[in-house]
Amino acid sequence: MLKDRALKYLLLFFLFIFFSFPVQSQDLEQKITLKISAKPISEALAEITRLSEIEFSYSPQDLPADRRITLTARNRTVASILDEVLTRNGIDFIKVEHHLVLKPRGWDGTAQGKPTAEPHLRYTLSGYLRDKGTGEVLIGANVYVKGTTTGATTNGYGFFSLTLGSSDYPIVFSYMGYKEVVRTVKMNENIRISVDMEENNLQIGEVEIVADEHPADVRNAQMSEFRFSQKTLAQLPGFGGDLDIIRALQAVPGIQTFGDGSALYYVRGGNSDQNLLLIDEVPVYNPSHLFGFFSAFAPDAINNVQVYKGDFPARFGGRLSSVIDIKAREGNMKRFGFSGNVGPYASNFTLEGPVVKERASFFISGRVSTLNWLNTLPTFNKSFDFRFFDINAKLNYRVSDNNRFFLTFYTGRDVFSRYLSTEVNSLGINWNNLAGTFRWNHVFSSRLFANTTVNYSRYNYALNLPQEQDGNWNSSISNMTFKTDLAWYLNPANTIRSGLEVTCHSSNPGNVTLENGTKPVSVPTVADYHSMEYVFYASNEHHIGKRFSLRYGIRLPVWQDLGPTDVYYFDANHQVIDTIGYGSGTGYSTAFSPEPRLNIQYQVNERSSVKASYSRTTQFLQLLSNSTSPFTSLEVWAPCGPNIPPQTADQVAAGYFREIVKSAFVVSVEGYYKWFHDHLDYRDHANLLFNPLIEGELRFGKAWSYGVELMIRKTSGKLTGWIGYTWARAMIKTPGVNSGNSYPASYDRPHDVCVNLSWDDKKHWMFSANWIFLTGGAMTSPVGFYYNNGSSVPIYGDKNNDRLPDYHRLDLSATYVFNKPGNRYQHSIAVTLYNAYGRLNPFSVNFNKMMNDQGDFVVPSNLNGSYELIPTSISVAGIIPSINYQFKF
Amino acid sequence: MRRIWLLTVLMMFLHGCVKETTWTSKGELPVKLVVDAILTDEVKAQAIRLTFPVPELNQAPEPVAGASVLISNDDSTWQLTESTVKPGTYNTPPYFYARLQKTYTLLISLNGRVYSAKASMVPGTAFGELQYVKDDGTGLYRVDWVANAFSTEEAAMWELLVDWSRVPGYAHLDSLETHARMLFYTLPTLDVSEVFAPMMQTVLFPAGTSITERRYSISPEHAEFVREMLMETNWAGGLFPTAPANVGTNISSGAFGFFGVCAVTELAVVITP
Repeated sequence: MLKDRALKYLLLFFLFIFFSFPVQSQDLEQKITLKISAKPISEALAEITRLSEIEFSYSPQDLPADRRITLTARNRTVASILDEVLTRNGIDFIKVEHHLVLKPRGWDGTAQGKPTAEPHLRYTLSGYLRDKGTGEVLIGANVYVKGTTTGATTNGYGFFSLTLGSSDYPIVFSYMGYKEVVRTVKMNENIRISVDMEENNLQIGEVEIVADEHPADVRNAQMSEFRFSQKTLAQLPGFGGDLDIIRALQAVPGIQTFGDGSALYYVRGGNSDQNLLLIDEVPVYNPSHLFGFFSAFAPDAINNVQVYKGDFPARFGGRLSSVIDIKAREGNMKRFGFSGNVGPYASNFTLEGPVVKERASFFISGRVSTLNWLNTLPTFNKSFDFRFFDINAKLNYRVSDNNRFFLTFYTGRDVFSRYLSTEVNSLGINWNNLAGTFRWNHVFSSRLFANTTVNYSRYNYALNLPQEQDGNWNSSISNMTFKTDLAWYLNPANTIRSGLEVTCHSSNPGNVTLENGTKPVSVPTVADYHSMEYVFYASNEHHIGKRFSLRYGIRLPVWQDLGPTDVYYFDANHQVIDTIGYGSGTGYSTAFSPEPRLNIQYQVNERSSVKASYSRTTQFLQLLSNSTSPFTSLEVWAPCGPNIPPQTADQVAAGYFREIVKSAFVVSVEGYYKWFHDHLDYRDHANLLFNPLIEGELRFGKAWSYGVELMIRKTSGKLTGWIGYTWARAMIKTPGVNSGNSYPASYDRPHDVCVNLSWDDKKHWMFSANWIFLTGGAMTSPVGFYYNNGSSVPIYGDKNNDRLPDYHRLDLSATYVFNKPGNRYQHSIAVTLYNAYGRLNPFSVNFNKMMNDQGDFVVPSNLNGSYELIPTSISVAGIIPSINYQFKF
Repeated sequence: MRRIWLLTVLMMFLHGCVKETTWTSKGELPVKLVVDAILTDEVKAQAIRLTFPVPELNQAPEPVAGASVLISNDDSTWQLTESTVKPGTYNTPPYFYARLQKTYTLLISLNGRVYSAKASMVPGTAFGELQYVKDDGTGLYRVDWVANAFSTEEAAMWELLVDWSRVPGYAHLDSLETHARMLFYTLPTLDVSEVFAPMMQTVLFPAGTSITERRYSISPEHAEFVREMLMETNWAGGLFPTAPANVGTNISSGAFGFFGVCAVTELAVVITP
């Protein structure tokens, strides 16, 4: 049955693709009006292209393109105008697919003729774009024919493919922050080319530094996307002077932070576990250090970050709300380098260089916390132990022009211990991530690019139980994935991408392990989860004429749960009614959820476009947590199964994008509506640890979110940055929760303002400021109290009936570069103020504390007699300053 | 200079922590009965307390007068009488005690509405003595350990009745200053908010203090009530809070509180230097 449905969807999809391949949009009989006065033929042709969308291919050397003509045509057919412009000037034309190929009259298509190429043939220009200084590939760079919109963009591996008619073309290679390269390419055969591009601001003080975002989002069909390069990240003031991708994300409209010191973020009304974070295609389950104060990636290791809030390309799936696609640096192919960032809370060092010059390179970056000096202060009195480290490493080997191998490794670990009065009461948690990827890029032909990946990721979380228990509570999640992605650059109008993916998932939802490695008899065992996931996807990016583009695709994931396990079945009251044991490798639950994706773009003119998209996403794997903490806490991951339906979401979005003052400002407005189905919720006081019946604690309902995001970005000049405003709502309705009534999600924060500005004096100084304002998060506050056995117990009315105070924070940084421009050795000092004006942003309000004789707020333990409780709020951070020294050579 | 820098940084970090805040209720308080009822296997007049909730923090609960309160098991029924000195308190006959293997039913009739709950006792067990330590700063003592907080086998509530009214030098003080009552719990569950719960008040007492350590056996249903109550009281306000919600109950008709039946075992401890 499942197989039949899958085949049906596949068949429908392929029929859709094949029947929608290129159509002839040009019409020589269409009527246009133009007036040309003593202008070259080439300009006349460009004007005709603008008015009619008919494109011309020709070699300027072979035609009298500079000959000036005068023409007035009012409501005439294109054919008659061309007859006047071309035929009378000795030029013939033939129609080849979307183009009119021009040639001198009399040319017979043979070698004896003047033209050096065969205009009825099409050839492909393909290759890589690289950084001239390091040899690293450039992701998202533009390659286009000068003066036209015909072009391509480099993919995540720096590869591009552009098919053109036979002729000579001035090809422009451009990438923000790099000097533009223009090369004339004679397209009389398929050409492979690699272009090394020189960074624009290698020498501070000589050239203008420009922001790295692609103002081309006016021309790019993709919407609901944001892109960071390392350079952009470096301009943002991070926590403790560290470049921080998670905190940078929180400055993007549509992405909301939980609060200070938190790595949790919420995208367009989705919960924090609905965000997929990939580093070189491998998922990282907990991207934070020190509960969230630091993000898990060493700053120097990041090359490029692409953020999708919606309009997900078909190759991405597995989460409902966002994809953060991080590409790690590859290492300098040309020379050795060493860099570092030394700060009061963490320091990192990076070594990179060629293994075989121009063919193989390595990159290794390590970071370690330097926080423990705080613990020596009298106030802490050595009551804490907090430390973390991470290592990012990468090897890449360019075997040939057609084959390239990458090996990426990431690991990070956190340890946090709290020593109470005695060792008996010491508590601690630790967690670690381990991820690795092996990738093989293979260019089958100039139009067919393949990427094959094998990756592994594991995340462990452990709680050290009090000493008398002599053990640890552990949870973990891991996956092993094999996947192949194909990109087929069929022709300039169509790029087809497809892929296959097989993933083996397993997770331990939390069990106690004694020091001797055994499990205690007295503690219930929660069975591990094992699952397989199979995914096929395909999509086509289809340009229809000059103005329209369409991207349609589908993702077909199949999920299967496997034994060994005991599956508990629950009745409508969430009581166990049956238990069935399944043997090793036995499938007991299968889910299939086709995910159509659609994007439409209409280019209004060169400077503005309108886009719309629809995407369905499915999440088979969920984080079970009813914590309202800003920090990553004890975490249990569980797959869908007999008691957990897969969560799905449908998102529609529409937007208008416009450049103002050519490329200097980009303004965008996006609106969206999102429906969440089988949204995960919890019974009141759900018991999620040590609970074999954990699935009985879950509830499922629906959720919906909607909003409008406004953004204006300045992408060049001394002052760069963006200002964003989001108005959004996120609501939940779950039977059995809040009496079945809808309620705002805790991350429902209607107003969100972010201002992110950087100013560079082009010599030595760079200043950055980041200001965020958010409506306070929804919270449940009491409507009264009762007393039980001496304790004052809150009574609640509606869920999330109240709000925390509004959140706002200003971060500032100033960087001074010591060295003169051009020095190979560069060093600088950066002063950062996190939460510069010391705003206290509470994450919870409580009603259970009194003030003791020392002036501290504590929970009363003497229940004899009366005590006065005081409403209190907890906030995480005041002003946090840092001074970092950075060097690079 | 380094010390100044360190202290400056520390002060800035500490600026963000627990602060007093203002709060106004954002909803209407439901008029519901609150039942605080624990019966034990001790032979004595046992009390059940009935109150109404209050809208303000620290506001004294309003006692419920005029209720009809019955307790029954398979064999007998007891009518509780309302105390004349403690409004809202209803007492069993003087020689009442609860027994194992009996299911007790609490029946409350108030203003034409009937509330009921059932509970039964799990056996009590003997236990080891608590541990105490000397406080470095004051030279007084404090309780360090009573029982494991987590055990899947024996859930219990521990009540410590601490009395230093007869210790020389303290005899002249008011009773409230020389007595303490503390509760500890052993539960079959472990929660995120429990792991990093906020700091508790430290109760200090001198050498010579006598402590009555009482262990109440609690049923799984009672343990779940305690767990939920702790999530809203002792464990709330830590670094890992969970979503707040009303504490569950085993009382019908929408009342708050709990009716439990416990076996009590006790030890006497005298604090010695």
